Amino acid sequence: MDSWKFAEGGGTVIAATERVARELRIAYANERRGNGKKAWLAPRIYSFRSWVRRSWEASWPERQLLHPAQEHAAWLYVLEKSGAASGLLSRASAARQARLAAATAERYCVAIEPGAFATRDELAFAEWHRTFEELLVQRGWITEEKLPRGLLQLLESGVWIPEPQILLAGFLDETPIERLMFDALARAGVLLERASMPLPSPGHIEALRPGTRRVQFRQAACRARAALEAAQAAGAAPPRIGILVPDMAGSRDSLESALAEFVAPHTLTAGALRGRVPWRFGQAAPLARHPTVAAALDMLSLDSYRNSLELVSRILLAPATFCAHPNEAKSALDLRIRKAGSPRLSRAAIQAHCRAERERGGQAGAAFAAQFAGWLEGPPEPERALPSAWADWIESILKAADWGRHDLTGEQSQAVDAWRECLDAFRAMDGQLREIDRSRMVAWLREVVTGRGFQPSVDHVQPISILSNRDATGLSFDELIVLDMVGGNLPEPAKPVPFLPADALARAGVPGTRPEESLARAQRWLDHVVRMAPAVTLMAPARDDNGAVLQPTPLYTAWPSAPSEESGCQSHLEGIVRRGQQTEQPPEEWVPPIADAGAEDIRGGVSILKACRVSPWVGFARHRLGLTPFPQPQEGMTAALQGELVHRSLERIWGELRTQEELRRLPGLPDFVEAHVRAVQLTEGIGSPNGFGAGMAAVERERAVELLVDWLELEKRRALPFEVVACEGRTRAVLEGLALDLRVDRVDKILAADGSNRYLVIDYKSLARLDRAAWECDDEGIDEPQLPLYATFADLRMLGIPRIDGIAFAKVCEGATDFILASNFADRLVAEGGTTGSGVADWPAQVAQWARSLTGTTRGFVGGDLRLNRRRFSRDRFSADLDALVRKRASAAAASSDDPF
Amino acid sequence: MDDAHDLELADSYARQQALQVDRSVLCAAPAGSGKTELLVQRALACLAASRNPEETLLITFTNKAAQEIRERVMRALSGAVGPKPEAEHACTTWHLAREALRRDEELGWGLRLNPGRLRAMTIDALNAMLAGMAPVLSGMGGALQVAERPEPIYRDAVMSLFAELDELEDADAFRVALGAVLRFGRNRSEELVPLLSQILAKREQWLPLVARGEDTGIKPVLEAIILSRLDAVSRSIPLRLQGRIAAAAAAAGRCAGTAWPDNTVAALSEWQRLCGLLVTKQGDLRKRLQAPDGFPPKVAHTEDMKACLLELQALADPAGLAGALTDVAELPAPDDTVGAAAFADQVRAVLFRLAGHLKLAFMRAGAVDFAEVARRALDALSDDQGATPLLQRLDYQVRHILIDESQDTSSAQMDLLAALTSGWQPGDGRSLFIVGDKQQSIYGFRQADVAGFLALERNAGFNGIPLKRLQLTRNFRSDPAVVGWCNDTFRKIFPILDDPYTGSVRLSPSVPARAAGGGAVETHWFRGEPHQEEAAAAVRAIKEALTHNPTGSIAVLARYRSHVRETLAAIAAAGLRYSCKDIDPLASTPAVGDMVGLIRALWHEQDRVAWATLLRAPFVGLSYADLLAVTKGRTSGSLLQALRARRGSAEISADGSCRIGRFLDVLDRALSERDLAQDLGRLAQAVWYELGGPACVTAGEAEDVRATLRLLREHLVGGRPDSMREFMDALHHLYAAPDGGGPVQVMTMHAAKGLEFDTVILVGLWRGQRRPEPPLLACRETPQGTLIVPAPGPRAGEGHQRLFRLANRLNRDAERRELLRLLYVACTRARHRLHLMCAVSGTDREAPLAGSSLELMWPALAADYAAAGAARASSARLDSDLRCPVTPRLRVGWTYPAPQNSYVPPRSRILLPAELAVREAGAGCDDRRAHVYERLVGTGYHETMARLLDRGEQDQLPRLRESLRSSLIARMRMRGMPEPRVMSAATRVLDLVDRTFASRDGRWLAARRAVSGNETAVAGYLDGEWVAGVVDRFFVEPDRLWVIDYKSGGEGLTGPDLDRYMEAERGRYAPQVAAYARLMSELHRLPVKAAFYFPEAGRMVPADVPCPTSSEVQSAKPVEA
Ligand code: SF4
Repeated sequence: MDSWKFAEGGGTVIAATERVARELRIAYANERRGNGKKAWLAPRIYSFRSWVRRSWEASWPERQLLHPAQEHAAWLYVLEKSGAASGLLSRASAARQARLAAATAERYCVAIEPGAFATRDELAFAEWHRTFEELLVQRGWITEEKLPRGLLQLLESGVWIPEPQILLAGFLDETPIERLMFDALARAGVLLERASMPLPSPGHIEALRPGTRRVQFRQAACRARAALEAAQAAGAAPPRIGILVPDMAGSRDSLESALAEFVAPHTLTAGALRGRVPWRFGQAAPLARHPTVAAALDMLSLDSYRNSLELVSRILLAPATFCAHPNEAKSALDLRIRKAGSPRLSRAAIQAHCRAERERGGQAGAAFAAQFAGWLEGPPEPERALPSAWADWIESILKAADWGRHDLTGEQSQAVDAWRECLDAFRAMDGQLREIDRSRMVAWLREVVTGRGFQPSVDHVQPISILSNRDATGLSFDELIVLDMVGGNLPEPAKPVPFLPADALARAGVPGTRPEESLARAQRWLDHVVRMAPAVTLMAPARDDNGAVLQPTPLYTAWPSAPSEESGCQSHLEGIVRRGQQTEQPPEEWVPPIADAGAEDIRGGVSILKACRVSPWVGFARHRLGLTPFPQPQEGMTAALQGELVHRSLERIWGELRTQEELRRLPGLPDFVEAHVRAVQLTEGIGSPNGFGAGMAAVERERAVELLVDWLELEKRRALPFEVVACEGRTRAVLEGLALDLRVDRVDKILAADGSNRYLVIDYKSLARLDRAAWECDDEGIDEPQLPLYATFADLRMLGIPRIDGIAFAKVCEGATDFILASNFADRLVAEGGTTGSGVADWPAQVAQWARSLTGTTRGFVGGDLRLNRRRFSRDRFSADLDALVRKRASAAAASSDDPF
Repeated sequence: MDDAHDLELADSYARQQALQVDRSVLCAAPAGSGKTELLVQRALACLAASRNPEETLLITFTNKAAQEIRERVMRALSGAVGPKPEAEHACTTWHLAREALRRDEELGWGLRLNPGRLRAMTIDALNAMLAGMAPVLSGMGGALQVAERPEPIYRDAVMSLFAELDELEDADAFRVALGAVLRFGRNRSEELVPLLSQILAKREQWLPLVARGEDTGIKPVLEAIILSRLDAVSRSIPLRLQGRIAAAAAAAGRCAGTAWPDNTVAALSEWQRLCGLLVTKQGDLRKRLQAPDGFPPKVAHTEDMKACLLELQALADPAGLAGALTDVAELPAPDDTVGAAAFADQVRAVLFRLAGHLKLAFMRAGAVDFAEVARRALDALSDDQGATPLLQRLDYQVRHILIDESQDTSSAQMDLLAALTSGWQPGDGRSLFIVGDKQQSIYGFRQADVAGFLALERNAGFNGIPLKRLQLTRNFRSDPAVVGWCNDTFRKIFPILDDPYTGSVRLSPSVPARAAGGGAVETHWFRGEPHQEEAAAAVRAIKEALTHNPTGSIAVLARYRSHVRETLAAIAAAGLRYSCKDIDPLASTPAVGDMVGLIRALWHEQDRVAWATLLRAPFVGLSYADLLAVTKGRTSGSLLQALRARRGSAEISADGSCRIGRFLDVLDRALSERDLAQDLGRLAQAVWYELGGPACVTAGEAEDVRATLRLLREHLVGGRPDSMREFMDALHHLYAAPDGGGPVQVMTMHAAKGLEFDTVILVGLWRGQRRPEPPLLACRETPQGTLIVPAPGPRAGEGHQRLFRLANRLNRDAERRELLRLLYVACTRARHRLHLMCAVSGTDREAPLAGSSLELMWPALAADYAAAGAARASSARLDSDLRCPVTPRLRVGWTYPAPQNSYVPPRSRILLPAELAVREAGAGCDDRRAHVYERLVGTGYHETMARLLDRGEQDQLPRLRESLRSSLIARMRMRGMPEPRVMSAATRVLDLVDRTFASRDGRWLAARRAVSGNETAVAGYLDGEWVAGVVDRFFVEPDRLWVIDYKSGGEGLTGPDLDRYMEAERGRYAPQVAAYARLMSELHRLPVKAAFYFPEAGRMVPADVPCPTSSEVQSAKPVEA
């Protein structure tokens, strides 16, 4: 009998699944309207689950039915009290499994008698189960899986009187508890009927063997497209197309992409039709994944102590919040935080960045920073609170971030509604969770929101249904495509169920516990599936995603022998690609020379020359286009930061000491150094306890002190007495009309062996591998142009230095402290064999050579030189971020390419 | 020839023996020996002897191999139904399969229909299964996700370890240790992450020892190493020589005693003096003696010593002896390593704590690594009391275990196997079949340890189970010429003896089983670095192979992916079709680079490099001049804003204006759709399409772009990247998949393991390798325990430095030996022809570059080089030209073509019922935005009224009150009423019901009537719209249908406030009630009157809606409800 006729006659239809029930209701509504009816009573068509629940609730029970998250919380509570679960890597997952095992036991009527339980897991479960049952009784709770039994009791006691006529629809494999229920109903005099299965005989079957899974999804999409196009051409209503997959999680993304590309490319681009997606998934995606909801969860996750930069960034950049502010403003604050270099942020630190942005940022940035700072202050966060109190707090927090307020699209507002329902479900957990702190709150809310599926309702037809094999039973289609019909999926291999003894499960007929039963079940299922539509396509890919061979299921035998690699149709994308690349090679590129560096906003000093040294193109990209590397904060200390700490400490130290003589006279060098390093950390915030934690700052101080003491010991040993005449002085050099801002680490006035005064520019370096070769010139410049630049073009008179007689690297690095010197008075600063040598033979010639080279480099930059030295470029680790711009292929130098895997 | 014949006989015998399932077997199966077929045969034999197919467990190295074996067993079973095949080995398989099938039929397994019953899996899968079966026992708590790339989890653990610095007291010993470790890494925690991650990945080696307190530091391990090295020397120098050497050395005054020293640690210095006499500093056996060393010429002890030295040279393995002597000479004295040991102790303490943090990190991530699963699986099988019931059950189920590739199993995997077989008794019908080839052990870096296999061989047993040792020798794969060449070559370079200490194995030669068929091995010699020449020669070899056999398979193999770049380019340039596996990093292909630029730009407006990449990408195609015009005066800040500001500027060329305009239009259109803008993956895809990304790529590149987007989606949470850094990291581990079909395949030697090809071309053999920087920490697993040695600082003592060198030397040697085996694997892939591209250094020394593969093969190939005569010289590399990097760009007029065959589904209005018409409706509040208290009180009121009126219990309230209250409380709790308000809410509901029955209006609407209904779900189709809803109450009185909507709010309001509330509600819900009224009037064909009922006020108020009049419903006929 047709279910709609049955329902029309006032009978109740119980469907095996919610999906079948829904299909029947759709059929009912269509039929009513087709009959010209304008209004009708909603039919009594329910899924078994919902029918049980309705019937049970209609008796006005006094026990509280737990929703899934509540039940999970109760299980977790039981586990947390139990000794057996202590030390588990994931108690939540154990609780979930235990709940599943208990549900299986209810559904399949497996008695939980500790006697039959032997392994430690089984025994532990038996104990948890007992505690859980006690808890249910004590608190007046009941779980959904227990409702059928509850209902049976009500039936027996006569409290509940079932409907007189019931039609069962779509049941392929009844579970024992369902069977028990139907038998009891029959005994109670209910007129039970069973709806016939979709088609009396199998539809037309076609079997395909796509070469790979990727090809399989494309073939499936092409099939669907062909069916839709045929109906469209014939002016018929769209056919109902079913696509079945055994593993939804592993197919969802690939299948959806294939459908989008091959069936509905209009959904891939912006436009009015973008939302018209012709397919629908049987299982909704978790609400937690919806952007709007994810943004809310992110905001709640922010704590006051240690937040990852990623989290802060997600909050700042989310389009769903603070919608009044432009993206530019949000990203500006984010960039400021990144530049500060710390990957972990306290609330206070974020506040400080907001302040900085308000003071120094642009107008839009400042406005956003102000609101964001206000939001951070936020309504006071309770230490611990009931979920329902948290829920109110959450609402206020979100409101303060404009979340869910600005004109939402239909889909977004549906998501917001679903979120509100979840908040209710969360509120309902007062009894299970009691007072919890913020991190537990977030975890539980996440649990609720992840458990809730979200699929926006749409107002267009979605002819393609994508279902898991299990969900499809009882449905019918015009065209059915069954994917991944490989031996490993059908029959389903046995899956161990922890916690329940295998033989008990097998006896109870739990699917997947006995191979013979799995086989029979699979055969039944296949027999059912081929009757679900007049046209059925079975697909078994020949290889999996990793290239391993797959065998088609042996339950069907007429598989083609050779796999096919063709999709069966061409996608829009392929169409464009096949027309050939529509690109042209541009003519030789050029850029105008620099006319006015200030107007171009060119910044930088020596860095320009260094970039040009890598390649003129790099100088152009970095300094004329302003392509600075996007900051990537690092954990802990960085070389740059440590260098800064050493620099600043030395500046302070020499500011106080001035001369070598004084250094030599100083008692207690380590304490002296320590005081200065500490001062730099505290007053200048470099490597400070605030930014890095007290522990890290202390360790770093120890390191710096040790290093600096080593270094100063070396300075003591310098043969020629010296006086430090300049520290960290600022000056500039003008080359080819380009003014470069410079910072000089230090200048020493040295009493040379001949009694004259010599001036030496010193640059601190922490690289161990550095020698005089760094100052050698070739056609493309100088590796380390900084000191040669001081010796040639820098205007040091600004610092009171009359001339430069030499340049030196001061290598302040662990285990390799040393001076590298080029001068007109010595080869070394620390004597070897009693002498310091006599210096560069022809100093003026050396200086002239440097000058020529530096001029040449600068001329290239100013003139708009765009050339790239690929070899040097790929060796420079500071240029890797520009790889894509120069279209660099994998370099042999890259570390990863030396890994054979 | 006779030798070969014997070997053949032995081989046949071994193959027969291998099929005896009543005994356990260790089978050595060299390359090409038909190992897989043998495994299939043994599996079939096991099946025929099983009660259930599940009793046979096949363990393979990869998932792919598991699938392949299963497929082959199933194929054999299917074949057994057919006629007997001709070939001999196929015939064996056929017979065995028939036996298995007979068993299947006898016991009704249905194996051919149910292939899942055949248990073939990797050890990782087995571990996961075991751990999943025992959430408690394994301590996992459930089947946690196993992270393919656990690096982020390790990183998390390391960072939380260092965070401890802030929490501990200054004087705390652990804090001191942690500080020391950090200092050691120059305080750059980021730089310590890779190192500590590596150590964490290997924790199966050290953690159990440390955890059990059995790891007592460096000294005991070192002492054990010393003893084993002394032993090695003693064993390789014949006794008779020992005495003479000692005596001569004593006479020369170089030794204290006159006898050969004992094998004790105390005698180390004596030993070292002796060894110093026998080897030079360069590590060669000494040939000359000198007077200053105490050996003046023409003295008896000098002559005697000379004679001894000559005899040593003549021993079987002089190189091995020299190595052993050098080892001893270089050993640090245990007492000399105190500094290193103290620090190593600190490291150990830190590592132990780190392992604890790792556990917490696993918890946070909800995922674990494979090593963790393995450890936990083992825990599930055995505890302090021995075998667990789980194991007993399993033990009962598994009777035959077959293990493939056993040379590459790690010690943890061996432990698992030991647990699985722990209850086995000889003769109980259970069997172990271990097959492997120690010559092909190439996974040392994955903790595989060939020493395990050597131990099996040495002990001829495993875990108390005697193993019959079998050796296969026949090679069915390769042409005799290839087999012969491999035998000759590798014999010369493989170690002579197996040695677990150094990880060396010796070669067992193969006998060709195929008839000679014109196969050959060809070496191509060059001088210098033949980048271009090698590529050209490889192309020639491919072409030659193709002429010879157009369908034959050809493989180009290299040790590292970077070694095939030039060859790959040459193959492509020659127009040959090829496919490669994991060669080209996806991230480095231009199409993907452009896509990544787009993704990053859309993610972050301030990422200027990304924006420039995007603007320069072919599908935007801005010239440098135009880009400069945009950035002029704006070298910082948002490039997008700069672009907007400069749109239409005169400084920009016409072409540029056009491109900028199109770009901004596309971008703004996409950004204006908020759903789209929220999801970075969709947004990037949409923009890429419309900008013309597809028109700028080849089909292969399009596939790469798809893969990039897929990966991005995996890294999105709610449309935003969870961590951009992790996405980028993951991208660098993906490889482009140019699958051009055709017979040529390019891959690494590792990837070729288990495959075979007609022609194999080895490239890059000559490429040298810079010596890697010494690690911060040298870890070496020795049979005596794990040696962890930190790099010596500038002030470290000699002992520490020696120790560090020792550990590094051990590692390097093991790597070299593994490289030898890798080359063996590579060469033995060839069926017919093998080409080796070789080169000697371009300078005067005629030898391969240091660190090259060829250097290892040189002892065997030097003669070949000499015979080859002049080698071709290499040309210079051509990649240092200086040019502006150019990018192709899309034609300026290009527009995105509207899709032709896109299926746009029609609006559903006409075709399908709207969602609200089909969903299951329930009673309750319909204001989703009201506060939860009001909503739930409302729902409670609706339900209570329905319940009372449905059952005609209008006047039973006093009797039912308490049970209703309890039930209401339960419902409120389920639905989310805050616990503190549950009681008052229930009271409130009952109060509202009381008020209802106390009011005149309330009593009237609640009165019993012939036709009435409560919370009635109705649906319909009116004026082309689907409508549906739940009518709180309706009844016919007397000739009209009344439709009542309850409004339960307004708590606490009185007087005008209450009136205002009611007025507002009336207005708000008027449209809804109007729709209900229409539905009800259609349904009942009666004129309808609609009203709101406010229990708070006890008043019914007519709804201000156009109610259908009786004229519209002519044939009024009440329907039974
Ligand atoms: S009056 Fe009705 S719609 Fe408003 S909150 Fe109460 S139950 Fe909900």
